[in-house]
Amino acid sequence: MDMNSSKETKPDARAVEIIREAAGPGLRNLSENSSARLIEAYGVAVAESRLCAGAEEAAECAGAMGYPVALKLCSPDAPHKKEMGFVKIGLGSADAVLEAAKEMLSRAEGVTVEGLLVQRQVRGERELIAGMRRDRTFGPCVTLGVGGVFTEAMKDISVRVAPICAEDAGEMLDELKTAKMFGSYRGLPAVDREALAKILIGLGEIGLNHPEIEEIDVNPLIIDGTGKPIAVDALVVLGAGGKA
Amino acid sequence: MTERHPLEKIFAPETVAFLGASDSMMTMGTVQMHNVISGGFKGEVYPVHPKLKTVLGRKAYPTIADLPDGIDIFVMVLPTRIVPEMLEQLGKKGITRGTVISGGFSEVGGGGKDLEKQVREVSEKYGIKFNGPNCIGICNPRHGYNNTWFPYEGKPGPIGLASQSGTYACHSFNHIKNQGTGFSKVISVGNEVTLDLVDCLEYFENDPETKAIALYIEGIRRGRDFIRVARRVAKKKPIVALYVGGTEAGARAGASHTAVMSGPDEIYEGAFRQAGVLRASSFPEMFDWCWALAEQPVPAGKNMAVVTNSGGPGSSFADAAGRLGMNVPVLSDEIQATLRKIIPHTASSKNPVDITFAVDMTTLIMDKIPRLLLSAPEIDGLLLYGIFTSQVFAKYAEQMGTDLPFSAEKMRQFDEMMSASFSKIPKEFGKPIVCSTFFTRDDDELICRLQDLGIPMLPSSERAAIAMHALYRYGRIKEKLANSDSPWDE
Repeated sequence: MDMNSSKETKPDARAVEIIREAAGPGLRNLSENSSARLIEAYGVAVAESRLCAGAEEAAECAGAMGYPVALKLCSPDAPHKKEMGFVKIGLGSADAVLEAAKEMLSRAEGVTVEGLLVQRQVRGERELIAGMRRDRTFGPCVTLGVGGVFTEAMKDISVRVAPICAEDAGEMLDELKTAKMFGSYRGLPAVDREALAKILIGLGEIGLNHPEIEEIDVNPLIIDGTGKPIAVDALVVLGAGGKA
Repeated sequence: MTERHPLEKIFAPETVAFLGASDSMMTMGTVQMHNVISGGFKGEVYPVHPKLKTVLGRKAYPTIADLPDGIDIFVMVLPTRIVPEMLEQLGKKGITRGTVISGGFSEVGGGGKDLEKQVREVSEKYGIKFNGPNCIGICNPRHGYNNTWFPYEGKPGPIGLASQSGTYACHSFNHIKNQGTGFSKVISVGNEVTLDLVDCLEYFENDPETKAIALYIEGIRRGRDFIRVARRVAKKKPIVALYVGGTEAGARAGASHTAVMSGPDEIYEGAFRQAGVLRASSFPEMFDWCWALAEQPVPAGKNMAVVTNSGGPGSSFADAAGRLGMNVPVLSDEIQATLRKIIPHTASSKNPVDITFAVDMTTLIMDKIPRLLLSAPEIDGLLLYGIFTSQVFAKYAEQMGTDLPFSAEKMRQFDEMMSASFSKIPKEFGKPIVCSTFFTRDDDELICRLQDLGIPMLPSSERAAIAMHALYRYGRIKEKLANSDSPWDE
């Protein structure tokens, strides 16, 4: 079955390079930094971040970016880094960044460390999640859901099969049971539908263009103060039979 | 004649080679051949049997090679292991369209899978196309052709059904008959070795007798082709699907949250929406919707007028419509003023229009009020309760020993005239009417008459309102598909 037959597009050259550089033998997923760079190449708005070599560089970088920042240990071995204590948010000073960085590195034994990721902290009351998965019957599918700590309990999601268009993306948002939360709500601006569509369309294109990618998780996708959805964390999972 | 679709002949053959029938009623094949010859089929049936000289009164042929040349199709109800060999012989004979009922293939695994592979290979070699294996057959009521195990006793209708369940394909004959509508074509697709649901969609697309398409789905084989084809078909004809299979390995192990949360049910839901397919939640619901969609125009908007002869059903209509996001707006002063001139003083003219009791109830409810309400620009469709036969008065007169101003026969003629004119109202105004009634076809001949004239009369106000909502949604699907710039249509 030709999964791409309804739309032929070329894989993005930067994305191909990111996968090639990041992928090692037996690698199951890309690090957060590589994942973010890859989805960014397809037009997904991601939070500003920089990969730093060590604690001092991280502190310096945070100062240049402006506080508060989030600090994350960047590794392809740690897809669930939050649970492993490799994420610290709300760091408000160089000292705080330095201390958190040293602490993380001290616990990173046996983990391939790509570096420390300093990320500008995105503030927003509302969170979405988005993703791509490959389905046996339909091929790459794009998912949008309500994010946050209760995401799995609520399981408020909608799905479309790639390729999708802006109309599909709009419907996906409207289909959520809690869609009202993402309109103008209690003084919060409505979600920028055009920006959201760009993200969902991009995830679908990755699915169509890169058969070696099995799944993508963008979690959370925080709605910032202006209504723009920003990817704050991303995970690209490679397929067992992938070329990478 | 050139073949436009392999299913054309399979649905409407003139000559049928039947493999697997005998004179014993205890075999499936015999019953299925009996259904073919007793169901009004005007073509010829040629049974193949190694020993018998005749089968069910028809001359039998000892082998496929002995059959006359130029037979349109075959029907095969034979033991699994000989199916590949028989297909080989049919291929050599040039009979390349048909139905394979026999089971025991990939659905049982093991050796069945190998046999199915052989079936596929032989079919490819000779270009053989058939529904099955492991199916219950096919039915084309207008052609009098039914090779399933169950008799088709209803009338032909506007609904085309393709089913991945054999029982749902043939036991639905009675359901649809009792409901008051009928099938244009029914196909049980079985293991879909050479023809699948997507092929059926493409067939129904150009079948003039099929006005609405029903699909019973447990798993689509060509997902992406399904979306592409359904989007094209749904521009012309409504498609309603019942998907059952969402729990199968629902929560696939996945590394990402979104993958874990989006199981087959969520994916099919999204695919159906993209494909322009309405998803029903039960078998009766699928046919409620198909009935309304096949017979009634789509409403331009969601403003419904409700007419009833009593509070309960009217309130139920309004309540259900509201839950579904449709409106039951207060009628304009102008319409209300006109209404009040014709309805009793006890009646409500607001909407729901509740006429309570009136001597000329039949004329009001089946003629004057529907016409008035559908002429109102603010009204897009009509939900109606309160139709029953005037024969009820004849019965009362008989019981009370009094005379009626008109004879029972005259009243029957009146009912007939009223139903003929009532059934034309939707087309005249380009607006749908969906009715509810507690009477069945056995209770009331007026109900039969209206149903036969294409008025969906459903057993509850809620079901009628939901069917109306399906009409509304199909209208929006058509608009969307006509104006879409989706990459799926490129």
